[in-house]
Amino acid sequence: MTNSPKIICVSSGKGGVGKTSFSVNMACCLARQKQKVLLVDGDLGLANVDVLLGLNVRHTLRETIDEERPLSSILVEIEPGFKVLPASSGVPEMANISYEEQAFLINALENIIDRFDYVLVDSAAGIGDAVLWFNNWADNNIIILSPDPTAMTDAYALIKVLFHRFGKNRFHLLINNVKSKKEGRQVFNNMKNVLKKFLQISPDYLGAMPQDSAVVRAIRSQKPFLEISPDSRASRAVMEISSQILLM
Amino acid sequence: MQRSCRNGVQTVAIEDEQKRLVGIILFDASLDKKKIKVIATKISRDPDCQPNSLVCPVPEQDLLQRSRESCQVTVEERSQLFAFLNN
Repeated sequence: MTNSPKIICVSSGKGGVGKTSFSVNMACCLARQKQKVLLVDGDLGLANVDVLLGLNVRHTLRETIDEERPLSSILVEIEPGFKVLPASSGVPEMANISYEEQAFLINALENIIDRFDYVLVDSAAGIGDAVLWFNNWADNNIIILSPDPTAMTDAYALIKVLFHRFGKNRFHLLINNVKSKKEGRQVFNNMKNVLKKFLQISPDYLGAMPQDSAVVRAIRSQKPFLEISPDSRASRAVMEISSQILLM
Repeated sequence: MQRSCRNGVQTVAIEDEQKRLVGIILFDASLDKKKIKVIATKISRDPDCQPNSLVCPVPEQDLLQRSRESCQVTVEERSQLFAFLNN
């Protein structure tokens, strides 16, 4: 019987909001709860997943598109149950692949994902083609934003594009870098009110990630904060949020 | 799916009845127009979509134009997004 994994795309609109850090740590967290997880670096031309994990990858998604290298041969195992599909760094052509290449990549992904329970896609920033079609491909869409006007605007704009262009109307909002849970709720409630008023969309609240120096230390160490600071506020928040993802 | 040559390949996006992008058609423009080779590929995982039923072949340019017009964030939306920051 073919497994049908849950495909979750993590996006934000604005860059630097914490997509990759969240995606890496959430993938790690799910794997430690006995889930088989594939983390796809969806930032095809400016890869970051491998950087946050301290990987030296030899083959990337570029070889799959350019040379039709099987995806299974470029998977990198991080720990039992957690594998990564790495992208390339400094390759502008990969940031603008054609419809044909998009379809080829999606077909190649469809051929390997049945061995996983969860597929997380860490998308690029912005609203470029790859961001949109990875979001369209996914079953669940997580939008990360932080409590500042630019992040909120870009998150709203991304949702609006996905709604109008692809008919997506279910989104899970994660508020990152908050001072308190209360602040997280306030930002979410405001975004929810605007989405309901103008787009008739009612988003789900996935949770809030706190400001935490452990996150910065982990990024500089190129390791998940779940690994080097398992008792930190950020780690506890990720574990709490993972229980919601397991219910998706 | 077989990849066709990039040169001379024209793509057309296709939509379902709800105007959602559900697939693409690749035309090999090097062939005689009476012998067009079509490859339709599903890019949406929505089980309700029927990717091979060409409900409405829409030229890519029209799709892009349509999405540009309707997706721009308005001044009113922005002001509502920021209003709570000053409260």
